[in-house]
Amino acid sequence: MIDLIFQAFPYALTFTTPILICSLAALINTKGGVINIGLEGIMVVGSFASALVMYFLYSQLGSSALIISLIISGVVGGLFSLLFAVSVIKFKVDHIIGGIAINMLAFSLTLFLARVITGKGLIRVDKGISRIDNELLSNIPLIGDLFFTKFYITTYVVLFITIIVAFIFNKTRFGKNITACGENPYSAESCGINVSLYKCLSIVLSGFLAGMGGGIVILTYQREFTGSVQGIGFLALITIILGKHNAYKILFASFFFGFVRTFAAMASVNEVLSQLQIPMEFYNVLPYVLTLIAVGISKGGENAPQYLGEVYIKGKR
Amino acid sequence: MDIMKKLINNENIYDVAIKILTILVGFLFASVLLILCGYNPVVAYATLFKGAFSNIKSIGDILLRATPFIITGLAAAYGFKAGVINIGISGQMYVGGFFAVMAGVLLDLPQVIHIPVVLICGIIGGMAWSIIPAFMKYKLRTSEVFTTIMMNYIALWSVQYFSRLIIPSQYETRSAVINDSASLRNPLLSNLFGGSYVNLGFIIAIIATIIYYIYFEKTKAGYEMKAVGLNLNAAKYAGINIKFNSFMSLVISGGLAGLAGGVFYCGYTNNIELGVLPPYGFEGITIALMGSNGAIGIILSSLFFGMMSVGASFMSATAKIPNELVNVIIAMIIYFSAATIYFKDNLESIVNNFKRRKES
Repeated sequence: MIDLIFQAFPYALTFTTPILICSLAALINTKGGVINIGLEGIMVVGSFASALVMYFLYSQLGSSALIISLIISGVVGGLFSLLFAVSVIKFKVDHIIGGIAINMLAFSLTLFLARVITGKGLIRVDKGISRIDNELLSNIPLIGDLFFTKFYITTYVVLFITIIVAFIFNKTRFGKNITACGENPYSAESCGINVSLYKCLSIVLSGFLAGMGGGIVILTYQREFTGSVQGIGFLALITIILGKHNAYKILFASFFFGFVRTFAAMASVNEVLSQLQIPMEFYNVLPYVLTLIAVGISKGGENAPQYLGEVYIKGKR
Repeated sequence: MDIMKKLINNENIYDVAIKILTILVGFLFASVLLILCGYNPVVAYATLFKGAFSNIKSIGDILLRATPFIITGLAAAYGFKAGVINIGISGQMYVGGFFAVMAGVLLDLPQVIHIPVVLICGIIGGMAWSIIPAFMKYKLRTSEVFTTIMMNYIALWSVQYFSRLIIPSQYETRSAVINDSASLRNPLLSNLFGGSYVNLGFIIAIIATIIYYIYFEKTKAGYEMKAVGLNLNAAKYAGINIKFNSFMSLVISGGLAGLAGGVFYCGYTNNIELGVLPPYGFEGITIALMGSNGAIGIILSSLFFGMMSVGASFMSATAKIPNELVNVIIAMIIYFSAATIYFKDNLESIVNNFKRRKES
């Protein structure tokens, strides 16, 4: 059993990383009172941008293309989420419908462009980020084996981002203002906060993170753009409920989702797990069922912003 | 003009104008994209429409493709009218389809009985899958958005597990094939449309639409449901049981989605594909949006979607333009038609200004 955990751990961390960064994106949105179903689409756009950069630049730039690819995926994700911001803030479209439109546009546009560029609906990335061992830290007993062997550097980048996001919402005025817009935009408005601007910023910022999440999916385990990121964007909306809208709790919620996902992938392959004879479907369903129960108990998710998902119309009240 | 207005479900003329405008904008955007990618938009659209209307079989295919669009569109529109957004259509459709396929595989009945049984099983499946979100909304005031997303994923894996358990086939990714007596495919219709697989599902979709229209326009229950969707407080004040109605709104919407599943998996295909949710969840919502939740609107926009998807396969085969182009066009149409209210207000004020200036 212990062996199993040691085996599963690097994979669980790998799966957790994109879930975590996308959950942070969802958190930023949600704090600003925006439900963004379009995160999935924004992730796909990010993964497309990342794969495209690798496709064209890797042969010339070598491994520095990896960094460029990650940054570009974030920037493209942020730019693409501007479309969502315009529809939700300027056109006053319902958040869910705006998100659906964004998703459809993202899925079709990226696949169309992929087909135009490579002739097929996918872009292969020959070289991604490779797993590394940290010489020094991997010698620490237990922790070294769990956290610092065969890990992707992106995992720690995302952990760092988690700390920054938590800091922004706990300590800075900027974060408090975003929270105010989600809790009650009309009170925020009367305090002189430019609600539309803050909502827009929260959407673009989360688009940046989600796009980068898409890039991480491509560069770590998927290695191929296929027009899908396996529903991580939707998962993120669930993770933040399980994580009670708190960056650190979301970290654990994402890790839980990542771990269960690993178990699902290993269920029929791994010796110990296959002896348990629990079907992989069980692992896949488990997090959703648990979240559903958690939502049921907490009556709709704790700490959810009061004006979540409501279209803001300036000066309505 | 009055009849026309009534036909388009009491929408005013601005709404129709805006809908046409958004379709044009969608095509315009796609033209820019095509030019940037080095294609000729005129050729693209010519082949698109030529493919869609080339022969009687392609007309049949349009009806075939439109069938699930119509029913999922009704499911979404029902939700919209009652004030809920049903994101769970794909999950409910999947479970409904699974129930229907199960009835189709396991039961052995004469066709006249088997088909209704299969469809009712589909409806029950869809309803069952929306009961949990509906109950949570009714009892705990939980937003249906998140619960239905979760139910979608639970549906995806549960159906895979139970299908392999109850109705296995030799393929890992598919269930067993339904009995012929449960299939909605109809040789008479196929012959009529030159060998297309258009089936009884289309007729069922039309019947469902008529019932939908009568329900909302002529019955008390439909009127109450609409009132709840329009203004919760006013409905409450008028003595309508809003809790019961908001519970039923999701359940009935789920039942329609389940019907769509039954029609899709027993007509378009004859077994259930595992590991993928049917791709009609979001499309249903977009259909409802484009059709302004009206019966005629839903049928027209479903036919439009069906036409686009039939034309797309022809276009990608002959003009070598990726068929995702069609989805780009549809996505742009949705993006702008979602903003209809904004544009409509602007257009109305422009027209009013113009009128005022003319008078003075």
